[in-house]
Amino acid sequence: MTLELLEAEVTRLEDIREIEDLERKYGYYFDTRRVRDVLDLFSENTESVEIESHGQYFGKDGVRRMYMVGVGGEAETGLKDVVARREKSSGAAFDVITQLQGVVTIGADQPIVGFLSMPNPDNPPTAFHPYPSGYHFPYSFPHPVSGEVEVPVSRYVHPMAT
Amino acid sequence: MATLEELQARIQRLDDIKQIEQLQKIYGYYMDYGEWQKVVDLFADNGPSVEEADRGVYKGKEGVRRYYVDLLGGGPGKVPRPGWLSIMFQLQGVISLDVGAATARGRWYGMGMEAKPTASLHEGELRQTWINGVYENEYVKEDGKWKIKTLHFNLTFRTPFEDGWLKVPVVGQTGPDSKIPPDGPPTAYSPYPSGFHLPVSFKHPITGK
Repeated sequence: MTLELLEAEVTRLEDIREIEDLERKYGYYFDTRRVRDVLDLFSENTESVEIESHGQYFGKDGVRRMYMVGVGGEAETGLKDVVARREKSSGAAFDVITQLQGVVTIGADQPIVGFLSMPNPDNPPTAFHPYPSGYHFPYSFPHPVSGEVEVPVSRYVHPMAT
Repeated sequence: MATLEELQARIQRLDDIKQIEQLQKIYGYYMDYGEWQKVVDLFADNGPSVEEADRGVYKGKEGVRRYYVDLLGGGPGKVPRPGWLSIMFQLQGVISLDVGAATARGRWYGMGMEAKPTASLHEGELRQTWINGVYENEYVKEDGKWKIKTLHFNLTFRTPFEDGWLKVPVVGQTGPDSKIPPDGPPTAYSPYPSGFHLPVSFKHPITGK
């Protein structure tokens, strides 16, 4: 093995390690509502983000709208605006936040925690079929022994399928 | 400074461990989706075996096929009934490569949530259950690919969601199947609260024992 091949192999192993760390950190940030940190994990050339039934959001700005506005509750037009809107109404969303978190914190660099209604997506959800539909999310990997890439067996039938 | 050969050996070791981890994780996904033939294809061609909970040991590639396709799957092509659910996380894997690095052992936690019939494998009311146990598996490199040589899932508890392991440690385990019998009896079935621990395949990282 040449030094060049060796370096390529080391790089591959290190890449996998870093990608696994990236996904785990995403989980920790999301669970603690560090939505700014979540946003910074995404590529400037992000293709799309899609969670549950909220639909697809395209590009880095789609990521911002999904996490900062949707999950984090930051207003599209700025924090002052959303605070004002909430003060005007008794706001069901506000009640949800206080029930979920106990305390609502508002600061310049700290978005409001809790869920607000999600901004409009760029596209409808592409694969939202929760239990007990029997839907199986497609594999991204080939079978490690046979090498075949296959769509999972599923008893889920799309309503539009004939 | 390490030589090129030494570095190459170290990388090979890391790569082997990574491939075995991938193998076990993919096993989990196929199991949860009821992809029984794909599970069978993960096993070695030479002398594999499988044993889960109290179902006994199924030996050889044909035994492995009988266990997954015929027993767990209910026969080739059978589609799981509506509501059937398996989510079995493959967690905390510790892989130990043997000398020569053509075989390896791995210990994993299996932890999950299920909706399956408990009176029989395929008939009766679906029950929501928590399941937990330990895998002690052996892997072998055949034709340049890591495969499962032996898979042993030792059940700790399988309890109804409504009850919990203190109240009902095990439901739905009725021993070896009479219609699709194993090739050998269960070797280590001793669920909670027995206190039984499946022997570990790895050495203590500090003392080496």
